[in-house]
Amino acid sequence: MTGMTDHTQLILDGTKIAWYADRIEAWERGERIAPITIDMALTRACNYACHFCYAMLQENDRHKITREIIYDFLDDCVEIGVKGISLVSDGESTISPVFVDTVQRGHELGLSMACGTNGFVLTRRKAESVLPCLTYLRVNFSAGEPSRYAEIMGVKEGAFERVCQNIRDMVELKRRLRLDVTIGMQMVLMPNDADQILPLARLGKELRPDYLVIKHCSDDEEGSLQVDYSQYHRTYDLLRQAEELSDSDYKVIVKWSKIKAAGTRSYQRCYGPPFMIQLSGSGLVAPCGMLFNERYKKFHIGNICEQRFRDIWSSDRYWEVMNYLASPTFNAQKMCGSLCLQHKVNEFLDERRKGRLSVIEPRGPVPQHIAFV
Amino acid sequence: MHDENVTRSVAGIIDAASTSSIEALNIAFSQPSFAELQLEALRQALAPVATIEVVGTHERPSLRVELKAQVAVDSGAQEPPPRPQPVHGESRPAANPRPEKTDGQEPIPQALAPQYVEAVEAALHSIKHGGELSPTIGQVHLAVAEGEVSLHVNIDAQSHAICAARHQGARSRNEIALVETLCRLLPGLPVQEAADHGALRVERALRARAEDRPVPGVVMPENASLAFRLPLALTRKLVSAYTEATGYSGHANHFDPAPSKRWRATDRADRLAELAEATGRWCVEHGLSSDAVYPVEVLDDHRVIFALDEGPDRRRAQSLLMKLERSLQSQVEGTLELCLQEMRDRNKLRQLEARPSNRNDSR
Repeated sequence: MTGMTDHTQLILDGTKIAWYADRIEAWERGERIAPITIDMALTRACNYACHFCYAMLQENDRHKITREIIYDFLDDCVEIGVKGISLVSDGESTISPVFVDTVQRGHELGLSMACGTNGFVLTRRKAESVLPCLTYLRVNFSAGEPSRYAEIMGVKEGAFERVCQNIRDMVELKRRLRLDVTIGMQMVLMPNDADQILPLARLGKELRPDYLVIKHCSDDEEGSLQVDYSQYHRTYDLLRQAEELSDSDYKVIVKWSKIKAAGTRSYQRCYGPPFMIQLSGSGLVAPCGMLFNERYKKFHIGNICEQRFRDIWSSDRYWEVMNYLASPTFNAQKMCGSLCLQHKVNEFLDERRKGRLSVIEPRGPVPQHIAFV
Repeated sequence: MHDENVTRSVAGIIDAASTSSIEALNIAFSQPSFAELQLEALRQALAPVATIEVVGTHERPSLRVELKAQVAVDSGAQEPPPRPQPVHGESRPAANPRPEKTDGQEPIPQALAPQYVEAVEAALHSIKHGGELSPTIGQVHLAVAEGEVSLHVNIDAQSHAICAARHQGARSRNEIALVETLCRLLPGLPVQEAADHGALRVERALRARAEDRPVPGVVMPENASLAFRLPLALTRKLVSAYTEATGYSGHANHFDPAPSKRWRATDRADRLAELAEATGRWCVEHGLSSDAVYPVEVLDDHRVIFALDEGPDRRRAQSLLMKLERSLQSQVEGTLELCLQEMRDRNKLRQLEARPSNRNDSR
């Protein structure tokens, strides 16, 4: 059995929020609902320096997430009804000393655990410890050639082959141990790195992860990363050629809906965070990663290094921030960066709030990775 | 029970009681009736009106209902203004004097939570938008109705912005306050914004303090009180009528209220001085030193960058900044958005190149 027995059920360019009608209805009744998914990091640090990395814009007061803190946090997540935790956010969680413990403990507690990583330290030994406990593991890999990999991801060329070998080992482990984990690769595409689309799609076909996803790059509301959304259309032919490299066990998936959105939003209120919040690698609890920087202090709800998460979640401050985002005072079109993590959830909930989606009716069978909306 | 639906029947009893001077009542059930009762749904629907507790025995269950002090429902009702006269493009008001069903829901009790009492009273004391609205040349004149209550608007067909709004037919104090507030807020809004967020704006305008929320979670017009379905229904019918009358094919909503003319005409130095004065005053009123928080820049007319003195406990900074923002919006300029200075990335490996010069980094 593989984690990708039916590729049509793996939703990477959409939202699974419709499968949580009960939580949507509770939210609409004005109840305090637990987030379904929490995206977080165990550290703000990273051993890479990708030139498009949004984490450069997310600095805030750093605290150290210790084993005790993360164990309390995981207990609290289970207690209030969180379903899945992805270790992505604004730091490289695999280099945290508590990474393996976090994944294993979360899994033991019944949480779906996932990880986004550059894959550099995920050697065979470490992978053996965490792969059985993960729902998915996604390796950020934004080039198909060693020299361009080094240039784009801010590392030495030797890192390219090391990570390739780590991916080969993980794929072999998954097959040998018949693990359910989905292994993916991810390219964060800047338009001027389009030359790497096909080399990477071919590399993926050789390494044999379950999928390669190609996504847009997010930018802040002031365009600090200088992502030129008007240039993405020039990559469409290459992206379609990359998709054609898919086969029965390897899918190249393009996040067309976000790429074609060209950084724009159809909605102004932000309704997604009660369903899906983010924590910085500093322990900061905020509604969204784009609001991690100290600049957005008014949205900062608390820090798990200073207060139990269950208390943060039930605090007036938490709900004051959630209410602010849903109020006429807030305008995501003006105040937010582009294409945030909650974007697809926001689109769905906004349609619902505007009366254009009166029935919550998920289509088809329950998809994979349902804990990650 | 007169209604086949036990829950609806009980809601009707409590709703009726809420309009009287009754403070509490007990409702007894047979076991089969009690089994059919959707207790949580009832509690949610009537939360602004009453608290409900299960008492009695297993064989003879009862509900103990404590009615909350609230805005009167139909007492003090005014004489209804005259019915609207049909005009070109009008959607005819329904004949049914009861509130219409909205989205398949049953007719609604019209109670509002205590958070709205003050603004309801204020709206009732200053009614300026009741009565007739004359069509204006070059503007689309429309009328829509929800039950007896009708909304009349003139809309600029070029910009799709509402130029004027009037209401007729509201009877109860709450209805009058709701549609009066709606008509006060509508001018200047594009018709799409009115449909998308008109009721949300009415809810916020009628709540005395943003932090005084009627529900524990996220406030929406429908969960704040079922009474807010009136402005919701009217504004949604309005955009439908406008679409029908003009062929408008909107949906995309990029409405962003512009800063006031006064603010736009104020130069940078004067803006900062005005903000500094208002902020200093606010700090003192809140037990802080007058320069505990101070403005350092205004970006794009609306975003004010503040610096935070080391004095205030940074853990309190979130709530202080929220409060300060609300204060400056009401006293200085309604479109202001408050931020702190940016904190630069401390990761030694990452280098951010070609950053704009206006970000006001703190370190």
